[in-house]
Amino acid sequence: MIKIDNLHVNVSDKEIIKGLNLEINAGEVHAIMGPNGAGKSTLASTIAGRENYEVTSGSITFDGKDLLELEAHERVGEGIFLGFQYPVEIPGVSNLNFMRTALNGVRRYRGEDDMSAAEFMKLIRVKAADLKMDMDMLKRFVNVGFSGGEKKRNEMVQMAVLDPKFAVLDETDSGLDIDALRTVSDGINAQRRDDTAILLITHYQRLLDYVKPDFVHVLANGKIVKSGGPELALELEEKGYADVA
Amino acid sequence: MAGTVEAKKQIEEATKEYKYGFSSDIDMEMAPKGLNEDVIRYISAKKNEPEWMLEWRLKAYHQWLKMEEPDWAKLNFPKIDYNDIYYYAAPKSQDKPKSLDEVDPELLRIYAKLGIPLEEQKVLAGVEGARKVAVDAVFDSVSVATTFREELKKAGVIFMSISEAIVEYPEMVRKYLASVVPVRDNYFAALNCAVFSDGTFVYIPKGVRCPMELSTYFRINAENTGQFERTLIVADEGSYVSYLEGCTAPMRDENQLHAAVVELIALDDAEIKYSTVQNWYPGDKDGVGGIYNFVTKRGNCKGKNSKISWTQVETGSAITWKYPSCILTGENSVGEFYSVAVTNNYQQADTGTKMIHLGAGSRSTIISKGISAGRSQNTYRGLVKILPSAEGVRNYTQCDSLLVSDTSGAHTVPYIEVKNPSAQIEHEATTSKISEDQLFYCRSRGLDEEEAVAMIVNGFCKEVMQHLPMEFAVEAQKLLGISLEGSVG
Amino acid sequence: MTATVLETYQSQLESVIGAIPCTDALRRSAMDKALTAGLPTPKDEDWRYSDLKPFRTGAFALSKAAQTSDMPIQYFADKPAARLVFINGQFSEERSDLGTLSDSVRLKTLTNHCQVDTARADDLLEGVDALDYLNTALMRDGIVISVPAGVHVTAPVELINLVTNSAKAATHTRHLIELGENASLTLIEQYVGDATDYWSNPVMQVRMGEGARFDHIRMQSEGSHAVHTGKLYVDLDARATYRGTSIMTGAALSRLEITARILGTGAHADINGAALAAPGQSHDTITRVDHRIPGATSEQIYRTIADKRAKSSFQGKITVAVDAQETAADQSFKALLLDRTGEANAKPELEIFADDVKCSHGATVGELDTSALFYLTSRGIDPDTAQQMLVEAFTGDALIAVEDDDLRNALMDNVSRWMQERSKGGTQ
Repeated sequence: MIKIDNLHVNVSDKEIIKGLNLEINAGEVHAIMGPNGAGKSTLASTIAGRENYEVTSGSITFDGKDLLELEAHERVGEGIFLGFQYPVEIPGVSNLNFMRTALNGVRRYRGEDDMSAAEFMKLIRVKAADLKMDMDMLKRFVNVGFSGGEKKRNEMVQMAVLDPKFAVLDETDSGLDIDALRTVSDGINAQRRDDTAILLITHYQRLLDYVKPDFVHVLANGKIVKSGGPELALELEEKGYADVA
Repeated sequence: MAGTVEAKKQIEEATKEYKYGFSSDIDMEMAPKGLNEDVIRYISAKKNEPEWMLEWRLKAYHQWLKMEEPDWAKLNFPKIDYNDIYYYAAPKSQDKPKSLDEVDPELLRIYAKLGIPLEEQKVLAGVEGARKVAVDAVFDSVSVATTFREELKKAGVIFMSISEAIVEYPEMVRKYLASVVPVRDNYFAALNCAVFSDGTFVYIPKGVRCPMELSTYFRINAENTGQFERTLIVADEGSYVSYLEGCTAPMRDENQLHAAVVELIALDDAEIKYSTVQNWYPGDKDGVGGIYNFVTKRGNCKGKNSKISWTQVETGSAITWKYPSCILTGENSVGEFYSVAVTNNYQQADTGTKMIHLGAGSRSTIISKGISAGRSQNTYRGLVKILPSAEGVRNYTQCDSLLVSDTSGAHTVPYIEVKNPSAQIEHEATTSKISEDQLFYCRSRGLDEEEAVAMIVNGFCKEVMQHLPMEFAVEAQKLLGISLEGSVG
Repeated sequence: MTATVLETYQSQLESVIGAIPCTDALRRSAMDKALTAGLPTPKDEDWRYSDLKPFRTGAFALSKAAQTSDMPIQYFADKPAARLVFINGQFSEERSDLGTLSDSVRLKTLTNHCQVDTARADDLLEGVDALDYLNTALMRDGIVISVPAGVHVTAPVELINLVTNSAKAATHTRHLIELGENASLTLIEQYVGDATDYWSNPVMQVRMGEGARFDHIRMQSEGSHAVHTGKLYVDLDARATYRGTSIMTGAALSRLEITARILGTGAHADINGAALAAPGQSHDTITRVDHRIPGATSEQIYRTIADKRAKSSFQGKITVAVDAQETAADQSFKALLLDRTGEANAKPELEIFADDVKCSHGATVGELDTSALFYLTSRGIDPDTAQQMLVEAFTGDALIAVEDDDLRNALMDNVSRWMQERSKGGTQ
């Protein structure tokens, strides 16, 4: 589904990703683990198309298309979703308006008609209920005044509404208590299907107890230095990155 | 202003005999009242200045003649007669106190509260013959100073009076003098250029971290340069210096008009920290007397990653007109302004800063705390200006005013001018009364009202005070309390 | 130059003498004062950020009175109490619709009012600067709306000031709004015009009795080459509530000066506004909130936007007089720069002479939050829409005083349209 080939990325003229290779197929869940500063979030932002993340060489292809040719919002239209480590607060923009505009933006990109307000409300009620988010939070401004856990749940509601083919979830487990972690994990597992792929970026093994990855990779100093099955995550948890990477 | 008239009369009496010419009496070296080319030539000659310096002064004088006294500040004072002032070595009035017994007991009480040794009190209070005594008394300081001078010399730091520097390091002085505050910058700066009496020159060589905090207190020939002081500090690449100016003790000075100019230059990676405690005589509780303090202070963060930090505690003077500023020329340079201004009785202060951003990535912080008591007026006036070249600039400004009386005024006049969209500018200001709840809480724990006010005010100023060097901070805290005495009730 | 320009205005005086019968003496006095005061210069603090060129480079002729115009007008209220249309400063009976308004309030043009009530001249402000004086000396007409005590005008009144065919000509209009005790009124005021380089110099005086309430929308949507220098004076008596929202999008050079005097305890003034400067425009807003009496409150929320080569400035002053204890006054200003050639200036000022007060102001200047933009686009929203959403959210803060949902939405639609025009490049 997605193929990353010899990727090099500069941020503020400093090379952060230094020749990264990764291929993920439909139906797979991959986890990337690694120490702070390894380039995990840079990889996530690069896939999503953030400005000022300069790809100096290498390629990312998604369903055969050159992803790097596309702007951030177009990538969403193609079916990519980024769950933010730190979801952004946007005062003055209601959560509902935000999600509806997003969904219709994606539909238009795909040549579909806008979803009516009534239809959208029906959809969002179901998705929000799945993630235990009440309507009041949907009416509030995007992430403004949300707790850490609420922000992450909001990310999951957005993912559910946009229903991406490929989701990159950047430290979605950070800052969550055990109940919130369960809810968020349920959200991720619901998105796990034969026709979707998920890339989990995490620092800890904890999330992987709830969302079992098919493959685990260790990212260090801008490269994948080791790959393996779920057992690799346990090994990392036990020995730390220093010994493994 | 009755006191001023009185003082003037005394001075006139004392100087009658010099009316017709210049005196070269060692005790009474002086130029006559008023300002003209001859007076400037006299000042320059007395200082053995090179020809270029004299020409520079004369040019400044002619510039000044064309200028007008600024009137935009929120200040009210009687018109200054610039021809009724001594510009060089004003004579001492005849009836100096003969001993501390003749000094205003109020002043002595304050000295005692500040813990100033007796002999120093005499110097500060202007007791006749005190200087001699004081020199003996502060002999330890002098020897300390000498030791310091040795140490500075070893580090290559130049620290001397500006008069000496003009003779010894003319190239350096010519290069930097008026490079930050141009002669024509403002009325008072131009006046200073024409007549400055003396001041300080500091040069920190490349890569040197000045081994101690520099203070005029340790510069031996720092006497009586208060009126038209000139300071020039150059920090070469990668150097650091912390400079302390002023003194927490109330300073009496017979010269009512003060117009100092301070210029700072920081080259690549250099840092200058300039701390001031200004406590000139504020006039009495009825607003009689007191210093008019018109100061131009400006630093140029010329080099990349350079930093200039101004910290001031302003409690003195009847009139304060002062805006220590930073021109942030260098890439990623940093400007800071931390200020506490306390006004009581009939004092008027119009003070603040200008942060002019030219360099990409430059950052500035402004924290200003104004406290108004009595019948005083306290104004913060500031400018944050972002020029088109300054990409990715940040400024944070916070101006808080505290009113301690219902007859005082607190004013905030910030200007924000932005010509680059990547700038992030944030300004916040509040004005409020001293909290009754806090006062009551303090008092219910046994503090008297003045102590309670002092404590709350110190808390209000904490963000600024913590930027003062340690030895200054403790005294400045006491000073805040003393400055607000009599403001409660 | 100034002298000759003002002399030209002086020569225009005779042509309006007698137009509003009771004002002749006032006009002459005001013209004298205009000559003495002189046109503003860059040294005038209030003109620090405004371009004076249009006033110095020659005088504006007096615009020609016009009965009607076929320029389309956008109305904001579905069922207004009345639609009052002024064309080049003269009341247009043809385009106005008085509805049932005159049943409940005293409604007359200034000209007519003056004929029956010669004391009316005493109510007219002579002015504080040359532009006011010129307005007083050369005003053609205006509306006087007097809402009697206790009367609530529930539907909004729309007041449209239209200028047409007035190349290098000035229109001076004077409106008076008077609200009796506990009276209330909603006014939607618009300034519109064609693409000529006219000067619109209106003055509105508002007097509010005890407990009165005035909801005021002021939309400056002048033609793209116009100069607009509007003045608004609001006096509030005890417990009166003024809720003003100004939206500024038009004119090449636009100034709005709002002076609110709080003259009674318990009064409250909301003075909000948004100014959206398209490429090349210069917008300047000056507010003065003068707390003279204890126990009153005021709040100001201003949002400005500057696009390419545009300049947006705000000077807001809060004054609290010696005895005005227990005053609470807040002000929030935010400027957004949409292009690197845009410019924003702010001077939020506090002048406080009483101690028992809670006053504050905050000001920020910056560009659109890039993380918020990325967050929006990373959810599939295209960059233009994302910008528009953020601009709407930014501007929305200034519209909170508009309580009527439909009206607020209609105003927001104007902001959205402004952004859509922009992304089409239509505002070049």
